[in-house]
Amino acid sequence: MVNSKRGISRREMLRLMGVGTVGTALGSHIAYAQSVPESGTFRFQIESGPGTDFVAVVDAFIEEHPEITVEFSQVEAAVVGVDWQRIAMEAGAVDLISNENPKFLKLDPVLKAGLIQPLDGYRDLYEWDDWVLAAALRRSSRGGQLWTLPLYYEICGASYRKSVLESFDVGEPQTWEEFIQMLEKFKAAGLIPLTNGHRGFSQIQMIHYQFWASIGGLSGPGSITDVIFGDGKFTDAPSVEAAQAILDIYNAGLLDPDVLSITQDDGNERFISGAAALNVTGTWFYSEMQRQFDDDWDMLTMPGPGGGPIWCTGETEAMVIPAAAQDPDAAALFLDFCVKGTGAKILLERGNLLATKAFGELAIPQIQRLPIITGDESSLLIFGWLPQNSQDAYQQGLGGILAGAITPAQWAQQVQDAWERDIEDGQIPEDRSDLL
Amino acid sequence: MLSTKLMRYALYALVILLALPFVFPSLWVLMASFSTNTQITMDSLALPDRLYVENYAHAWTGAKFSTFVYNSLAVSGSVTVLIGVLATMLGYAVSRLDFPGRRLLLLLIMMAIVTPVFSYLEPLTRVVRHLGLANSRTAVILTTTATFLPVPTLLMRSFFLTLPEELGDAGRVEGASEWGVFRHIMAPLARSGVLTVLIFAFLWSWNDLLLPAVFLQAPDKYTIAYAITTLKPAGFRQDHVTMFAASIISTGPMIVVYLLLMRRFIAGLTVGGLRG
Amino acid sequence: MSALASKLRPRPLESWRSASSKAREQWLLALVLVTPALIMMGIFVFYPALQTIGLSFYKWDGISPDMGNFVGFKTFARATDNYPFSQAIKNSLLWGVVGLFVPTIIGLIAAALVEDTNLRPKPLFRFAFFVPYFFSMAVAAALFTRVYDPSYGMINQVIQALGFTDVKPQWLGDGRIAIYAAMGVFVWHETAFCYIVFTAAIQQIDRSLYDSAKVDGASEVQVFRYITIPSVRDVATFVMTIMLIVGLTPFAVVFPLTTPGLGGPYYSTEILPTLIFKKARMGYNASEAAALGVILLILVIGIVTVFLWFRERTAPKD
Repeated sequence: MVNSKRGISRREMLRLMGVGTVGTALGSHIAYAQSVPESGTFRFQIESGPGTDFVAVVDAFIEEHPEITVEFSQVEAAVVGVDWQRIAMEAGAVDLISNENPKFLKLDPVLKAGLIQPLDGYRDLYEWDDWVLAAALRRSSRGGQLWTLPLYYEICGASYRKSVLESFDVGEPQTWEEFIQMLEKFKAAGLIPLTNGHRGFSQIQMIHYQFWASIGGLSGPGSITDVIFGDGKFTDAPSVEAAQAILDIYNAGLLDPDVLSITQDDGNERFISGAAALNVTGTWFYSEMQRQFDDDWDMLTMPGPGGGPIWCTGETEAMVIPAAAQDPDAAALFLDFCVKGTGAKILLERGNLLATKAFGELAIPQIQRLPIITGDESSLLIFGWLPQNSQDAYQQGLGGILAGAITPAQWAQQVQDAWERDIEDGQIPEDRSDLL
Repeated sequence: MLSTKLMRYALYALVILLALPFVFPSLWVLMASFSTNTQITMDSLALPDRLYVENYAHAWTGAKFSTFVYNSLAVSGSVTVLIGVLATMLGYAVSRLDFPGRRLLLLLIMMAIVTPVFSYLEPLTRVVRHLGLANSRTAVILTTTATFLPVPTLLMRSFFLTLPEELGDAGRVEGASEWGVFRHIMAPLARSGVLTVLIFAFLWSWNDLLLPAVFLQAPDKYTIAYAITTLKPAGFRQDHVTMFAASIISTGPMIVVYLLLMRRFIAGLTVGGLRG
Repeated sequence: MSALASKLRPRPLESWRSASSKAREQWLLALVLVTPALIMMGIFVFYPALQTIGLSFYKWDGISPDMGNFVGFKTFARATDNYPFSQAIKNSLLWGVVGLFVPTIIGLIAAALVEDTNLRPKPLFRFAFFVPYFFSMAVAAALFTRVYDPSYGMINQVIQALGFTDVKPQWLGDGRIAIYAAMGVFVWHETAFCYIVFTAAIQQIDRSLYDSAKVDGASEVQVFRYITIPSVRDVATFVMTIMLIVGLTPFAVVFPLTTPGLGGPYYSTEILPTLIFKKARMGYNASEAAALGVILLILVIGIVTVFLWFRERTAPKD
């Protein structure tokens, strides 16, 4: 297909994309023997949200490793799109960067573009397998190589006040029936039983993950795992039933009637003010709750019809070392500092849930009970696993179900179509079984 | 007599009724900016128990809006100056100079007006990245100038066309060069047109969201409009009052422009600007 | 701007050889004056616009080093065969119509009411109608997320205060009204712009026209119809063209109202720019974004051309 009659020449396109830099860099990392550096400098960039916690980590690192220089910067990337890391990596401006999560939306495109280097040398050198959760490492691998190191874990659920549950004489629901009874009690008392925000970044999807995990189980046909890594479809019964269950609680007035109009931040306010009894959120909300309520809070995972409570977990703050990195050894030393060194301790103490087993005993009780520490099996928090087409269909469609614009079955079909389109477009690997 | 008086009251009632939807939300925002988050969620129409001026202090320093105002002024200021200069030059060339390709150039300018920047967003970001301008105010300034330039150029063109040609010829008889005619005769005469264009450029670039959203990644470079739309308080909470206070702060330069220059803006807009 | 087109007719040019020194000097000056602007527009407008057209015929994710294959119109087919796209087209067209008529007509009526009557004090009323423009469009939209909030929002609070306690519209959550709520912000903001320009135009109208009409016994409405409207015709064309272009790409409104789930709820506020932004900036679909860009380009050029042609055709003969 190489000919000169195209609208834009390929060479020009490549030049524009900065592929030159990448090409040079791809060769360069081989020159490094992966080792513990005696001195060095690395440039580290991260999103400003989690970045706040990393300020302290970087300070501690510099104190412990005066031989290494760190150039640290933060980026506000929540709204500007998915490609800020790509820009930094293409420009050869960083040696270590947080690529947010190791899923199809974030990892596979930069991998395809040849922008990052494998971490297996460091994995062996620092024995990360002994520390980082096996599932996290597996999902961060492609083609048998480790491409990214997730530092955080995220778990979604419904947060509650312990005192409120006590005053209603209810515990964490173990079945759908118990869950509904609990919501009914809240409703009868004039509370918003379960608040949630759809406008902007829809967190109705967090309800769907939990119901779906509960109905489909950990690995059965049509379970989340089966769809993401196997041959399952979004149109299989568990996902559709989960969507129907959301519609049912909405129609019964058990879900915040304003859900479609408000943002999740509004939902958080309703929960904190006491107007709402349960709030759909996740571990990212832990530090705020700890600040607001001392110990009088916790989070549960909601059972769906016919199932028990199953946690949905997902990796995040997945660090990558760009192919163009000038000092990957120094960057990797810092990563290890966050896996089992003082860095991990600092991150944990600040209320983050880590993808490493280090210092687990220091965590607050609300974290101690989560599957990451207990070792229990968990399902998938699938945000980030879906590329843009399917994510848009998934998220917008859940709103469409509540608005009565589509049925759960139609929604599932639309998501499945978009998912297949994403596979066809090469945004998702055809065979994903080795990630499981 | 009675009926004219009645008509008068009816007129006032009508205009006030028409103005109400435009004024009321702004007043609500102004009031809420002096209130508290709790008060707003409880009863947003009620007056606050006192004026919480600290909201403004918090927006200005705590939420770093001093930085955003500075960024916006830097971006809009540069865009305004660039557009003022370039539109005057280009406008003069296409209205008062005879040169081959003038017609084609005018056509290009008109095409540029109807080419929305969204249509070439992706290649544009690539160009910017290739020039090494990713995540920079310079990128916003240059792209904003280039994409806004056509309309001010046409305004300047219409403006120059209203100036009598004889003035230029008189200058030429006096021995002025073509540059001299432009620089010392025509351009000074077009002052009110230039002022109109400057205000136009300032209003529009102050208003813009897309280009800052695409080209600025680091929060310390955000413009105020972009910062307000992405304002995210810590802890996944809602912070209405800071947002309201920041919005009121953002109107400052616009109000100054209105009070000082709007009369001349209006004059400039009509004297020549839109008659073409 | 319609009149502009008529001024584009070519004039015979002298060739360089036979040109007088004046002509030569003009050519040189033109070169100097035109070049900087042309370079800027070339780099940041024309070159990427042409690239878009090229890119739309390829299948490329925007990140792979290999640009992918030439696939002809397949990318267009893929970008348009879905519900979000049809919503975006529907909403864009609707928004174009609203932009064309609503802010312009309200702005003109408001300007006439203030300027053509003995209303006092005029500066106060002018200020009042211009107030929305002090906020930038995006800030206005961000503020309206609060104005529209179902519980503490200004509108629902006013409805409550008026005694309709069981009326609680979900302005931004109800797919049937969200698009109109978004347009409301647009109209709120852009009317101020139309208002100020029409004010300028009306102030320029020769007062003696009004006086003689009054002497002839014309009513206020007749004066408005037969003097004001025809006098501001050119200005109206200018304002309407701007509103049409802005109305076809109201990203600054939709972005703050729905970010980052742009175009929600359930695609009810989807417009072509949000779709392009999602494909190009939130996912890896450079080719589809380019194809949508070409469609937007054709849409805007087509509609604006038809509009200007219509205005020119219906223009009164001098």
